[in-house]
Amino acid sequence: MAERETEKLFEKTGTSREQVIPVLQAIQEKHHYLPEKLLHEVCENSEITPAQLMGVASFYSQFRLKPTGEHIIKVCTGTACHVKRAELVFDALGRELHLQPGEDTDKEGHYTLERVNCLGCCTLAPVVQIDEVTFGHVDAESVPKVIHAFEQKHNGNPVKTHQGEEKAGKFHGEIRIGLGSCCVASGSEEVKNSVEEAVFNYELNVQLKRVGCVGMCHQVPLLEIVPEGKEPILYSKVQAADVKNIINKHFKPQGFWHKIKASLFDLVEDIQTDRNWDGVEQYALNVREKHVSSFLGRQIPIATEYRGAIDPLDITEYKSRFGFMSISQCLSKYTPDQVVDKIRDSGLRGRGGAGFPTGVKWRTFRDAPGTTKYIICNGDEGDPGAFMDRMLLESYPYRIIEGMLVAAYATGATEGYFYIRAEYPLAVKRISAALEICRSQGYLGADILKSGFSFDMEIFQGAGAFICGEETAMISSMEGNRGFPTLRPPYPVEKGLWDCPTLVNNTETLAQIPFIIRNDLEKYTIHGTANSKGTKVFALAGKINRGGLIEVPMGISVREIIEDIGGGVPNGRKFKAVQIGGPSGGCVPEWLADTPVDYDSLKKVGAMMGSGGLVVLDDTDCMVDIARYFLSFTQVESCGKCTFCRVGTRRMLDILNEITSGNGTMKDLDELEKLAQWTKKGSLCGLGQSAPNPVLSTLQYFRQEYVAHINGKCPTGKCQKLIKYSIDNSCIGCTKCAQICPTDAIAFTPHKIHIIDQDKCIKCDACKAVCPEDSVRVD
Amino acid sequence: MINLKINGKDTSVSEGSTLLDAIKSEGISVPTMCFLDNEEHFPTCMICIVKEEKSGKLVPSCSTRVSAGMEIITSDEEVIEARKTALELLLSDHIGECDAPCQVNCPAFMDIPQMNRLLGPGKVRGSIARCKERHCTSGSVGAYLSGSLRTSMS
Repeated sequence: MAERETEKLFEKTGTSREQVIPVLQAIQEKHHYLPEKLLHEVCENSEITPAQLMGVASFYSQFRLKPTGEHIIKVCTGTACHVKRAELVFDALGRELHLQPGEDTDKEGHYTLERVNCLGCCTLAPVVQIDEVTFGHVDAESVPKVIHAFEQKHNGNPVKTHQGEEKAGKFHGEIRIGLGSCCVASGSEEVKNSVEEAVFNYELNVQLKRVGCVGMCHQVPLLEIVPEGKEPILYSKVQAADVKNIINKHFKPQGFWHKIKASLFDLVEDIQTDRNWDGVEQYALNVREKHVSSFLGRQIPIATEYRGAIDPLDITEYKSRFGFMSISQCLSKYTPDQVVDKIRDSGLRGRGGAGFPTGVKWRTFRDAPGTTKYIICNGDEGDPGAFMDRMLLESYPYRIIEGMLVAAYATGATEGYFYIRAEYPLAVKRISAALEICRSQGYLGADILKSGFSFDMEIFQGAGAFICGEETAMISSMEGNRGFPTLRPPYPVEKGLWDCPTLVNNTETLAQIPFIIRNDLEKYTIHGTANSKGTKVFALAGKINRGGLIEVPMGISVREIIEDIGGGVPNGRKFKAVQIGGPSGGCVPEWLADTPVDYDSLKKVGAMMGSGGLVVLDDTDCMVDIARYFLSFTQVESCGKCTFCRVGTRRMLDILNEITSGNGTMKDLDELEKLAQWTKKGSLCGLGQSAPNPVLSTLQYFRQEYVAHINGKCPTGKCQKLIKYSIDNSCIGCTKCAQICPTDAIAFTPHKIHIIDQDKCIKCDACKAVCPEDSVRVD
Repeated sequence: MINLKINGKDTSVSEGSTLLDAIKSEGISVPTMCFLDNEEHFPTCMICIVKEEKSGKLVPSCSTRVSAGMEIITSDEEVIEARKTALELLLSDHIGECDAPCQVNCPAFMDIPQMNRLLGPGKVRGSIARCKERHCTSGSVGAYLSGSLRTSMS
């Protein structure tokens, strides 16, 4: 029986040693962990050795060697979730499942609880994912509700769908539903089902269209109605229950009974006025509407062209919007050299973070000798707080495929790969579907568009290691090894995957290629600054009113992004700093917010473009905690190869832990700075070289906060070991805090001022959240 | 052949050599730790670090390949400081992973590494307590043993 299992597996993957990651992924998908018995079988029946297998299985965080519960609860601890206190949610889930310290699975074996680096739904922070179901805006209090909702969904009946029925007769219009990950996480699947049901019941002839990410992730789920011959109207934060009302408003029901039903319904609606609209905040994507116009107005969509208007997988639509125009132009008009030159002249720089000129990279790769040459699209977006690549892959699969085709034509590459992060299942699904469709339409494979040019690509799924975003580590992992980076030179463009020249380009870089090729150069170079041309996509999240995915011209100031596009900091708090570039970037403080966003200016102020995560921080955020957060991330994700990164980050983290728990000394600050400098200088790859940036930039701009911690006080009350919860005299004795306290630290004393037992208090913040009088003090 | 400069002096070595090969051929010595001649190499310890003068970058000499026009400094204040820091970091991480010679050779079976770790941050009493777990007259034992320990360590 089991024998057959590995046999079947190898039929799909083959038995060569570089297949180890796909093999392990297939086993884990079925069993949720890697059973030892199967691993023995794998080693006996393939080229994979036990040493290699264990090396790989223990390196990548995706793989588990222990059995798990029936369902897996993942708590996102990305930057945006961290600043919105995901740790408290994690602790609350642990209490809900009655987990003892060190345990991750409940006694009944129903749930396994774990942290995950970033689910890429930063605007819905904090985010919890149970199996495939994502919950946004979770707080400690709503944890029981989340589990209840999941169980309902899991045990409930499958939803009836009325899909894909073509109708004749008068065409009434189009309904667009956003189906990016954020939208899906906020319930757009349910909305879609309700729409289908309503359309079916009212016998409407409308085209229901799934569109990719609109970027307005703070307003999801989005539903856009485009009545035939009229202005489109966008509804935001739509609930499944609202759908009927919305559709009724725009489309006349067909058929006698529905007309009567609908008019009755309208009558009821008139009487009840706005009650039906609870939860639907404001609609109208009238670009004239101020908050929408300022969010979209400053943006220039190039990588995200036609966002919210095209169905990610509809190839006819993509073609109707200049799709595949640049590759056919390349094939018919331009020589490969001309294409490389045009990319060089456009000034495009790699969007993965370091900003190396793309044209130069292509040229070196083109000139590298070799008959087999690979192109890899780097979709291993590991930065917590960044989700641009996910959104581009999910929403514009054809554009990225086209970008890669152009790159292949220009550089003489022979094979292509998409390296996509394990945490992005929807992106993998969309890209593989898009590849299939492209093959069937002659855009991929042999003799593309009858030009004689042949090229094909496939997907390689990452296994959960941040370091694999580094190109040499990515190549090691594709070869079936631990993701250790190797020394450059030789650069991958000369000697990369399986020792062949390999071009690794970031997803966003490739997404900009088709626009550059098919337009005049000026149309691209008009945007941006002297040394940073074009636009950059940012994931705007954290303490911001209008978070989401934005594409802005290079050179726009940090302040314009936060105030004009993002609508400032919510809840009347003060904007303190913005963290740019994730664990390799730094903080730009409020007083430097006029810094233009381009590669060089950001570097000057100690931050970095990185991959483009922008996490806004307000005056309740502790900068030492932010530094500690990023360092604990890089410390865990350090591959462990070289001393400076492996041990240097750990020593720095030790010092930060001491400081945030009140045991730091002024001498520690000097030591921290010294270690940071050496780690930067001595590390082998980009991870270690940039890991100290968050520490250095916070030390530079917020040194007084470090000093305050050393003096025993966390100015923002975020560092648990330095704070104390107490209840002041304004307490009305309502007992709400006593009821919610998970550790019975507050005695049940109605009508009397409550007292917190400090020995029992675990600082979970539940009492503060529930207190109606704001009587809970944190100092 | 590849031409490069080592400590300001022109030299040329065959293509594919490592910086360490080139430096050795000049008769200069660079400390190494994780490097083992004739074995496939995986640079980790960073003790053999040298400086590429033009870029100011520090690179492990044991596995960096020579390229034309490199200007290498094998030893200056920064390089020595880097090696020292690397070694310090390695030692700070190296607790209980192998047996220290002082402990292996101690005729009185004392837990010397642990005593030293307590002594480091000034916890003298803790260190004495550790010692007294085995010997009630630790002071005199220490005086007597110091000679024999020194011999065994050398």
